[in-house]
Amino acid sequence: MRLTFVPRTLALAALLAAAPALAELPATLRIATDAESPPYSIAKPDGSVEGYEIDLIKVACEKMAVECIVEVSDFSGMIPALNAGKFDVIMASMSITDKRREVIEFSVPYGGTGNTMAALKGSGLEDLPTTDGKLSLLDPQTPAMLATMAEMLKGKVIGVEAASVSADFAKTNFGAVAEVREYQKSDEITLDLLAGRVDVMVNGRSYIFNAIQQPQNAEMMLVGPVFDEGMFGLGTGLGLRKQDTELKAALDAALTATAAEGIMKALSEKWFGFDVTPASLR
Amino acid sequence: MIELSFIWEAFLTLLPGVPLTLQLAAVSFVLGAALAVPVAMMRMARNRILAATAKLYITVFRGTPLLLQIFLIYYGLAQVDFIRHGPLWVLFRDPYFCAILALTLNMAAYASEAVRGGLLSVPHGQIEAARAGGMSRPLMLRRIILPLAMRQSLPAFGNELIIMIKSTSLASMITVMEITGLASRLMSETYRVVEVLLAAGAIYLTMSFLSARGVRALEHWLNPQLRNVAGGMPELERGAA
Repeated sequence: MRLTFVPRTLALAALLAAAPALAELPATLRIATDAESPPYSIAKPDGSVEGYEIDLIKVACEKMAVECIVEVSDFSGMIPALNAGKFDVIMASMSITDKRREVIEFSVPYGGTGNTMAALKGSGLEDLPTTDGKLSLLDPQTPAMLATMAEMLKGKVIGVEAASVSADFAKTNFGAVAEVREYQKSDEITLDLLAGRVDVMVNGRSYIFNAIQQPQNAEMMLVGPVFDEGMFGLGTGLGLRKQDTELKAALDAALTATAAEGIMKALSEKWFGFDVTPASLR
Repeated sequence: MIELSFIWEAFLTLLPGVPLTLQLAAVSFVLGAALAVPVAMMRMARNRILAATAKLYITVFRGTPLLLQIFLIYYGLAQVDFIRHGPLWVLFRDPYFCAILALTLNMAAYASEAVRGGLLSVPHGQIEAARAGGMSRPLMLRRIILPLAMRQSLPAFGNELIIMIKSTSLASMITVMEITGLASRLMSETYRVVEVLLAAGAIYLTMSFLSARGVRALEHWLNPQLRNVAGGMPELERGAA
């Protein structure tokens, strides 16, 4: 998919002031997405992609006055492909973690949805304590609430995506009392939750909100609060090669401007139904 | 860039997966081999229904990818009502059981053809001699036909064992955390793919090599004619490697 944008003189001028390194940017940016995490990016039947990330990068590329080519690629091969120079940017709803920072660089976050949980209706886990809004992991009340939840999750199987922030969270807080089972893909956890092999799933809020709305998942429901900040606070970022510092500066400036102008909020409300703008950019 | 120190780190992370991998391979190999004998007998039976059933089973399991079989047994059967809500669910809810079942059924389908080949290769002269000696059919089967058939199909079984060790990697697709499961977790944790795959490859290669050696030694022991070759060298072309 090719997105070409005519630079807007005003936006370009504003950005040139903010990021003097712009002159060093390549004329074309190759961006890899996995199109497997709706509504971040969604593969359409005709082979093209759409979603929050696609709209967002369109705006960012326009601000940077570069041509952007979005290509669909397999998630597992993306980092080597990035470091091998096959792409310039990874845009695949990738959580920023310290371990990944050892290999690649991240842009400022452009999404911070927090994590929540899902279980089957009638499983008893719908009684897990909850809150009206987000529950900050930094809140002094949170450890007590997590202890109550651990008590209720004793002996249960918790499904998480392998090596995700949700997996760290589940292991840290419930690993001592429950079995944390790791899956390659979120949809596989959903299948096993419906089959009764998994009692509760911990996943990104956007995935769970999306999944419980699917008719085939009618038995599934949201349980517990939406956890945010702490280990979830780093959010989702674009993956970049470590040496591409000019590109990082330009993308950071473009994303920050997008958030400041309210475009990020508008796009996330369009795709997620709520604001995913990370606290640091608000 | 490939970092040597990280390959070593990956190697150490994957080693704890070796016992589970070997266990999956050994259990499925033994059960599969045991199941292969009756399947081969059925396949050769005069009763047409028995023969056709065995043929269908062999064709289906040899004609479809193992990954598909694992998925169908794990995710597919979970949607069948009498399994999902019946007494068998205790077994089928367990990913380890589903992996063993799929590997065993797959192995048995291939191995039964090896057994059949072995049975067909027993020289007629030997059977005639046994008959002339007045052996009953069960005795003849136990003393003459099966030992000869087994020895004949041993190289094929050696291949099956190595294929089985490699096939266990597919169990990672249904959350069984053997070597490949640990490898894919490490890859998504660190995003270093090449180093992890190299470490995993080295471990699988070592296991395959050692089992090939083991099978060859067994074959050597069971075939006196191989040992009597002048110079004491076994025939290197034979065997399971």
